Amino acid sequence: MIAKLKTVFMDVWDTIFADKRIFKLGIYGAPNSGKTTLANRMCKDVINSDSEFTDISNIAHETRKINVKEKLLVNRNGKKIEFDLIDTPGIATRIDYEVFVKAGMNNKEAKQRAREATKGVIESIKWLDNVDIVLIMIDSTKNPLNQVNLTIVGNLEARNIPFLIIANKIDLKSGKLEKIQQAFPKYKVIGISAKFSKNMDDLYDKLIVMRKKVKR
Amino acid sequence: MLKFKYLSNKKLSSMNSKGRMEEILKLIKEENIILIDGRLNSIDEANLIRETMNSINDEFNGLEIGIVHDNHEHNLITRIKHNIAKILIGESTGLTIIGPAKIISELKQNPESIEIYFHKDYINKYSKGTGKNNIKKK
Repeated sequence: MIAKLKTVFMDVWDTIFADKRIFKLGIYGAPNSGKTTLANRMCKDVINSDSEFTDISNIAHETRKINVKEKLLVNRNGKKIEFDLIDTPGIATRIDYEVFVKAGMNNKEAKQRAREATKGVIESIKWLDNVDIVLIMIDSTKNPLNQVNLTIVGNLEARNIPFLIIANKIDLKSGKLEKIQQAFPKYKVIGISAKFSKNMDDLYDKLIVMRKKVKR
Repeated sequence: MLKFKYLSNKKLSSMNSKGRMEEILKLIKEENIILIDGRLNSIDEANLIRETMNSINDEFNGLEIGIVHDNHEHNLITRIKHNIAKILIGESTGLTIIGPAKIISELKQNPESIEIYFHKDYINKYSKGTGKNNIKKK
């Protein structure tokens, strides 16, 4: 009876205060770290969305514009969080159209993609001022100590934005969660496979806790 | 020939953020590898990436940055001293290397070391006739 009353009370509470508790969740990282795969995974996991974000591919800079999905709702054992999910283009210090030519594009397409990719990086950086919590996606099969990851961490620290480091692709043999944790000893790292939905519950539980740190 | 250009932290600290970015990008576009004693602050790093993206064209494809710095935990007094110095003269510990992506294919950094991989074409172009090549290729 008490449990039932509690559920009813929580539902009423959520209905009244849901909008006020919506926060902006940004997914940041280097190209091909799995940001859009995670965004798509989250869209499948939430209880109020049935559509995915965008296409994914193995060619870098597939996402070249900021994509936002509004009011996604996660319910973990009665604890609910509601957020706008922001999938950002990968941040890079270099963009070479010839890489896209090697991947099979013609010169015109490759140059166009490079131009769009540069704009995407600039947009991602601008959006750092608009997010409340950030998931930093790191490909656990690669060296995590690259300048893009360090710059993202440094900027979030400087802006006092809470963030969570996600070691993605741990389903792969070469995926090394401990390597990511060693590179960022000050922070908790969660290992996931966005592609195969591994450890996503840990991520949502952590997000529910982090939600309390958002100052608005 | 590889050109290394030293940029002192003191000089950079005397400029505003825009000036620092312009100075760095000018040297990078002139195909210099820049060495800075210390490191840029995080906001400057993001600004540098943003300005680099604004500058990318068929000729200029960006840059590579690597930083080595003291990653060890220090006691309270050392941390206070360090923070005072940081406020006065900027982050002066560590070493920053910034190079043109045209020359450097990859900068692999660990907390205490950096490996620089140069483009094969660049090495072949500039090692012609010397018969020597002591730098790593990739």
